[in-house]
Amino acid sequence: MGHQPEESANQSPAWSETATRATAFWRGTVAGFGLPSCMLFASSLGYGAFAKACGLTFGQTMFLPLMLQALPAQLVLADHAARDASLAAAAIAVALTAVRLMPMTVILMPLLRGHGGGRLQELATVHFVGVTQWLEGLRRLPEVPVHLRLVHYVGIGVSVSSGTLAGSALGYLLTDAVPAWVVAALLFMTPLYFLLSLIETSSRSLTDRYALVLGVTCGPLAYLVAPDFDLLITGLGAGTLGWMLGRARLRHAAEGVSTRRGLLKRNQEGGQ
Amino acid sequence: MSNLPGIWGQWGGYLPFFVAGFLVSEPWRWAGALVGRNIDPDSAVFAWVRAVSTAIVAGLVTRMLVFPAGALRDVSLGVRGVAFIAGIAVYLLFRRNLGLGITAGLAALLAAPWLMAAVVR
Repeated sequence: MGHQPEESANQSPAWSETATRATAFWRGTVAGFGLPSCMLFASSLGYGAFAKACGLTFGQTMFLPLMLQALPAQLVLADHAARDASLAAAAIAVALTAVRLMPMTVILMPLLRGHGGGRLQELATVHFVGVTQWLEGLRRLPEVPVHLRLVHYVGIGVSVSSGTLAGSALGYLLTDAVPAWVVAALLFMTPLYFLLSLIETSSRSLTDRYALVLGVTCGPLAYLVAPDFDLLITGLGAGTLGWMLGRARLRHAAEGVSTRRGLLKRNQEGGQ
Repeated sequence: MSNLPGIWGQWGGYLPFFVAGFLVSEPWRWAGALVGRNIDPDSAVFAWVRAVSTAIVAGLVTRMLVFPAGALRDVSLGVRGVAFIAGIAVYLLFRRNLGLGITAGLAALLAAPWLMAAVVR
């Protein structure tokens, strides 16, 4: 790879095979400190303000992002605590938002393998699987020498996570320091940010789009009917229904295409 | 130590979050790392998983908007709704620009009370 300096010159500087682990870590943090950590900083402002409104202490507000590394799970957990939901209801809701981390990790693993470290190092590294870090990893890891990838990904994870922590802290502390309308704006930013992100991520999948529309509609209704389990009802009910509708629609479309192909073929044969 | 109700204020205020948070989310990452090679991330099961997680977050989003916490409660439901829709509209109209959509939503939220006051007068 070192023979083609021209090709890699316009991207980030090329990796030399002699680069150290410290260099790989450092370059990971630099990569993460760009747009990814800024994005999470901004969106965590709303989480911090929300955690404060939920009655969490500053320590708890920092603890959630540290151990979860996923904004949806943080919000779900803070929300359940504020409403005095049972531990079981909160655990199931958090687990349901976290299952999607498994396929994400599956997709990332082939890029991390060959690092020469043990299984434990691998398991510690995947703590940093969250949407933002993960996307950055998928984008950058292929250019990194195989044996340095694990430590590079940890670098990305640490810097993105520090953006999250800084945003959460600021959002929490600002609540007592700024006028109420600023706090209202911070609290408003979180749902808007999440809805726009959901539109973005669901644009490629029909089932996700149905789940999004049904979930948005079902959310407040479920809260009125069963305030303790509204997120579970919304997730399992609207999510499953959206998934079924999406699959039925896809199957229907596939059948339609094959029927049309069949007709087309018959017409062509008839014309000959 | 903690102002939270019920179990959430117990055990120093951290253990409940650890149990209902870390213990139910981190194993999914471990599972992905350990059994990775033998499963297909595009399978029907994972499509269902994505749909459920999408619906949970979508439901939370509208609840945070319709039944808000803290200072957002002092903004009327009409203003919240209009500002939210404005944000989505701008996002969709301007090539799915996330920053622009959020800026527009926030601007609408802050400008709406003044605009409404001006109209009423």
